[in-house]
Amino acid sequence: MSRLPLHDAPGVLTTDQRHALEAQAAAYALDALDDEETAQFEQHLATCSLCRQLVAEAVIAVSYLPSLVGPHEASQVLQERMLAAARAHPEACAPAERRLVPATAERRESERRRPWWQRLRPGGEPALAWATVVLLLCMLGLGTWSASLRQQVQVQAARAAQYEAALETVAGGRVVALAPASAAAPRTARVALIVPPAGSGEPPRLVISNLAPPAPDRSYQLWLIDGQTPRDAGVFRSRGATAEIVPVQGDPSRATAAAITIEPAGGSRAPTAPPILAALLPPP
Amino acid sequence: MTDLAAAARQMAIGADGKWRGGATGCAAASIGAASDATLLWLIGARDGAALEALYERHHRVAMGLAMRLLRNRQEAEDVVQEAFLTVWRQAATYRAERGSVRNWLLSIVHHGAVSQLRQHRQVQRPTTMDKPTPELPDETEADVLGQAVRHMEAERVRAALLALPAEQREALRLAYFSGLTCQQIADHARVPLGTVKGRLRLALQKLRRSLQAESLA
Repeated sequence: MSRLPLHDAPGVLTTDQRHALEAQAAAYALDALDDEETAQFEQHLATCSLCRQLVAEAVIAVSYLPSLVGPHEASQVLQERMLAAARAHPEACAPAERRLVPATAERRESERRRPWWQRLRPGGEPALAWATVVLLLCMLGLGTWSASLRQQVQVQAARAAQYEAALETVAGGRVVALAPASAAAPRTARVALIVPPAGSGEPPRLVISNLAPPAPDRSYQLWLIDGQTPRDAGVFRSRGATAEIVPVQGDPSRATAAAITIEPAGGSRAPTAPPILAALLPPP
Repeated sequence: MTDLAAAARQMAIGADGKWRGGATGCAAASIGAASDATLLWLIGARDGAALEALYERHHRVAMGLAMRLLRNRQEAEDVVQEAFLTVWRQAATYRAERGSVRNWLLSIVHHGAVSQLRQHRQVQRPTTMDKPTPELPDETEADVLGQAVRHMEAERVRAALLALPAEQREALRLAYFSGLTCQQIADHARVPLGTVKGRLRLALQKLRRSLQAESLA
């Protein structure tokens, strides 16, 4: 292995020395070191926090590469073989600290991991929000809340009412609520795609509420997905808290899914970012 | 067998020799909804149902990666089997700050596939990174939205790779998808070893900045 620059004191590394360490970390993260170099570098990593950090950064980039290959079904025998081998070695794991998963974190993770179509109830989410607001308002009447909490509840009630009112203006079609599709997705936004009945002559529309405006150089873009191909269905900027109705371009009746991404201002020909909100569209 | 191992066996396996369906008493319904991190914690507690759930969730992408490198179904299945067994044995050593469970699993698969490749001293035929390698269609995949999201993600990564200088992209391809060592890449490209490592450094740096910046937009 080429000798790594001495770096017990990272602050005194030259640029070339830093680059040499980064290059070694990159090669290691890609499994591109031979066996001898790998063993030597792993021995070094055990005592060097700087190189461990550099490897962690390289691994972030490497983790994108498997998305270039498609999934491949394995034989049923593989699962049986794997489980049989695990059954043959049920002894405890190698001794190491085991972090207990906090109950609250597990509940949040459990809710997040539910398939989004189990969380979607057309018209259900706004109703639940409204019911919650009503309950909170009842509790307010008992005088058990502080003035600041009272104000927050009133704001939420107003937003929920605006959202419900906007939905009522386009009633008569299928209402499909878009759910958060990534960790960066806005959790408090309410977005629903309204697909009018066939032959009604009504255009499809998007009802949005509490969706924060994107950065000044960005726009939201709606995509309707036919199988695997996303079609541009409109670019928009939200007004934030106020509920609004956004026209949808194209016909969602043949689409199998809808998704919203954040794109450069004016939109893109094809999505350049993963979706933040998405939903399957039930067949007409 | 130690007392601890005997206790683990008693917990995990029923009288019929099959998993007791959760050494930790976790119901099947909640197992399926649990996060990867939770599944890993349960696997560390010797919960076989959690291992099954993790396998069901990730074995397709693991097989895809192994097949891409090895081009041999039996060898790919061997590598994937060993990867899940490694997870079974080392679940307690996983740390979230090292990345997601999925990425940890795929790094184990990649390492195993590369070791297998080098053992056979195979050199992959050059294929372009510009288009995905044709894969057998996964006819059991019913998650249309999941497919669409994966397709969009693949296009995003492909665009970021195409934005790299050709020599950096080629070095990355030979290292990750062909399993070559830096020295082998240097011999292939007829450049110094340090040049290859520098290209890999720059390629990964640009990839990370490009794709992380888009995710935060």
